[in-house]
Amino acid sequence: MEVIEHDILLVGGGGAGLRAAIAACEASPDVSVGMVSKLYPMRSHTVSAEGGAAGVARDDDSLELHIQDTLKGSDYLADQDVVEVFVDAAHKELTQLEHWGCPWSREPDGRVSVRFFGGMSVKRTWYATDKTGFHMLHTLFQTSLKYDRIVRYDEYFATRLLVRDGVCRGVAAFDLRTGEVKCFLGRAVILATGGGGRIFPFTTNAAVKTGDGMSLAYRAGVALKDMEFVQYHPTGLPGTGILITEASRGEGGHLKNKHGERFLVEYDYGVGDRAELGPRDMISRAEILEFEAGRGLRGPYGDYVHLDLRHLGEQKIDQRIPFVRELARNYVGIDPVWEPIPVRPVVHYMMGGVDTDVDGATPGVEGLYAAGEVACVSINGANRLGSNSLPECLVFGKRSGEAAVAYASQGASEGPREALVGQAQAEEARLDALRHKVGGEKIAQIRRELNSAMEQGCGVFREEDSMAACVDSVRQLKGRYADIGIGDSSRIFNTEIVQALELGNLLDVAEAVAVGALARRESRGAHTRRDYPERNDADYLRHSLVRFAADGPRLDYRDVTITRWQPQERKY
Amino acid sequence: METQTRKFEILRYRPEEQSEPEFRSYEVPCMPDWVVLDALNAIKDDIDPTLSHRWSCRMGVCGSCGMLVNGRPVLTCAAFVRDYEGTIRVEPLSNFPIVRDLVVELDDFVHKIQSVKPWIVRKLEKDVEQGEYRQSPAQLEEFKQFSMCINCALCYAACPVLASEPDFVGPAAIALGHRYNLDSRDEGNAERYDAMHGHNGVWSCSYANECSQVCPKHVDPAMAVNQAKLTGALQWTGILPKKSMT
Amino acid sequence: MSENASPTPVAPARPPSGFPLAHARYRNYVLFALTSVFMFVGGVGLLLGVRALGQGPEAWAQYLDALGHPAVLALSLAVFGFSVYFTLRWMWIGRKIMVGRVGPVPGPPIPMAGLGLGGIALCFATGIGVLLLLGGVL
Repeated sequence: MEVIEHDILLVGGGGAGLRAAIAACEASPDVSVGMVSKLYPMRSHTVSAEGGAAGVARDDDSLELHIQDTLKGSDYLADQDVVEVFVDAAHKELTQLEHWGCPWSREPDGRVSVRFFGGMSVKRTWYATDKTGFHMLHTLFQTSLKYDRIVRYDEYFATRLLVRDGVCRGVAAFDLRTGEVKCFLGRAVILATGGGGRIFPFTTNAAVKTGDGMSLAYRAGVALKDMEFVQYHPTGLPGTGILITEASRGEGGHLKNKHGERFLVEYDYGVGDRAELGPRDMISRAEILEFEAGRGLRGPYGDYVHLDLRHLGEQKIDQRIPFVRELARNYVGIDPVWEPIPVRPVVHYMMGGVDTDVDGATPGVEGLYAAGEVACVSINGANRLGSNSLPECLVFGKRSGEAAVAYASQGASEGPREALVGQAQAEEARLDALRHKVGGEKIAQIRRELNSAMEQGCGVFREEDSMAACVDSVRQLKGRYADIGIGDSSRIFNTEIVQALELGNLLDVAEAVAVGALARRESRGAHTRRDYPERNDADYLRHSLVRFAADGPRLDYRDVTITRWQPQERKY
Repeated sequence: METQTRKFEILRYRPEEQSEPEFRSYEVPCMPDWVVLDALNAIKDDIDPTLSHRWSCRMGVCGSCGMLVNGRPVLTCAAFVRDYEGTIRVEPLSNFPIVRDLVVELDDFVHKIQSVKPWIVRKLEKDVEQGEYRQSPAQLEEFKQFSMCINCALCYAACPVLASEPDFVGPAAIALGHRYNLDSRDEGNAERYDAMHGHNGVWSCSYANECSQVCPKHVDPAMAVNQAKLTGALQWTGILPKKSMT
Repeated sequence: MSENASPTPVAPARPPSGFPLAHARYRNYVLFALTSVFMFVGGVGLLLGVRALGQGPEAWAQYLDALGHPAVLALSLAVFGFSVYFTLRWMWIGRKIMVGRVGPVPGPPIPMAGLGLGGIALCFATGIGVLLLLGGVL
């Protein structure tokens, strides 16, 4: 078996991964970084982020305000010490991206422009029209190309963390091109694989968002934190789930029901005067309530509401949100200059993820770090504010890159590598067996059933019975997954094997989400229960922690870190 | 919504079993709002799990799913089935070796992107604490269009020069190098000069304009390549200075 | 492409579908490439004329006679046609690549997009006019 060694190993090459790789190189002049990614880095899902990235930039803004907004948005489930670190670094990271060439939109005087975003009390969202994630990802990728020390392993799928005596020293991954399993050894491993929105059927998430890193860490003994909090974005295109950016509301767009009413304003949904600039969880709920009140519009993919941009005018639309126009025209045949866009809530982001500290280190497994959507550090708590996730990738990507280098340079003992290579060899045997696996179940069928179970059990509004049914369904599907059959036994670019492994990861993540959701008997942020409609700080101002065990997940809680800001009623 | 069964001819190549690519037909029940990529996924899920193709964002921005549909390089996530009549023929991108089925070899493409040094080069880097570089909207506008490339490689599949000169750096890479040269924050065009104006650089382009015809993001790489010719010529004669960090 | 050894067997790259003659776009491009042949022929013709001029009045008269031959006339016409096509297409490119710059800081690109067919025709006519003037015809 081929053994490849680097000082730092990265799994994933999106916003957080690339930032971590660059930070590692800058932290030490001779560190070598191996970046294992299941796709070419510029394909990573960071590319789809549209609206912008938050960072304090103007005189009318302050770090204090950004912290307050973030905490309130999180429904006070975010750790306050971490949010302080995040807000303090966010604007610096965005400036760093500017120095690396990111084409931020500009004011006439040459400063970077900022726009309004949901739940943010002032303009603080930096943007590059409405392709912010695309530009950030390409800037990071292109900047990473100048470091010879970042060695990329593009289109390698990581299947297992190599852990010895509670210390993570590598990862087993197979090369899609050849099917060959390789043993990657390093002094520290950083996971930056993104979220797992694909557990749901209707999502803005790309096909690759299958919770791979979450499952890797989970199986290696790290807890998954706050997994029950899944963000629904209020404006996705029906059918495809393509995201229409929140910037369309930040720039002044209105949401309207079938009577043409701005329902967020005319009915009291708790979103307040700022209406369309409310946080995502509240607006998504408002849309569902509108549907239930019979005021939604009917379409082939269920009810929807209208996102009306007509009053903005063609010029502003083309200047600020051209991609919205492009997407609406291409995918629903509607030109937002003349017609409202049909939208509905769509699964967008997972607040939860791999449990980490403020440096991305995972408690329990030494040498393992996580950053970006895969991680839960936690700044997002029960509901992430729009435009906080891109700076999160940067801030915690950088911090984990630097922390990993510091850890690696402590000269952690090399130790015998046989055990690690042995684990990779076991992985090779497992994949060989999987390639020739005969069984009665089909990957696509299990995936569809999983999606529908999650949608029914863990949607915008949740209830005890449907969640319990969802937990049961996921468990049954896990059982059936053991009996899948593989139709393609070839080695070269076998995407069926990838799908089979991804399905396994999806099942792990889905189970953690459902178990966490069932146990949290309150409504907080994106986790809204009809049977427990109130927030319950006495019992649940705590992070949930789901740990892997052979006979089913173990659930545990940890107190939220509160420093200077006492939880208050969340009113806008 | 009613499905309609459509016939697809897909170029299949499984190197472990076939010595040469050949077409295979599939009858796929398609929803009226499907794109070609949806049909490929339906084949993969329900008809033939051995079909391999790349895809991810399915909203036209990750650049994974470029293929030839009826001979034209397109993003299959943005190519609607209803816009094609009769049998739909799907092939891997031309001008690239085929790894398997609809998957082509892209490493060479990525090396070409890297060869033009697509990053900001400066004599002195400003500290983050000093804030951003000022850049007027006009200065931004100068390179913005060329920064919209999603690296989907459709332009490489369309370029007739690349068909006969595989070492040509190619439209996307040159457009990217040109993008950095035009950026008011950059001082590194001398560093990019050899890659962009050397033997396999801009002068290989004979302005067929095919790259701009197929570009899904309206980058107009042909414009970039030919603007770069002018700039390069003026730099070669010394009329325009080369900016260098050294 | 220029990759060394591929780690797995690959099927060779295939040329763009239908190249070079299947589509009008490709045919236009081939025609554009073909202009070089005719412009070369035209250039050789002119050089022969210069040589004839140097060889004396007799040779020059012969040269002029040859120019009147129907085949040569046809060829000259083709050369002229291809030159016109080349010029038009070159101008078409030119308007895209010429970028207006004012002062040391480059302004926004001003592709000569406003230069439509009329403008190109005007440039072309002016060029012909100058040639005729220099040639003493006018």
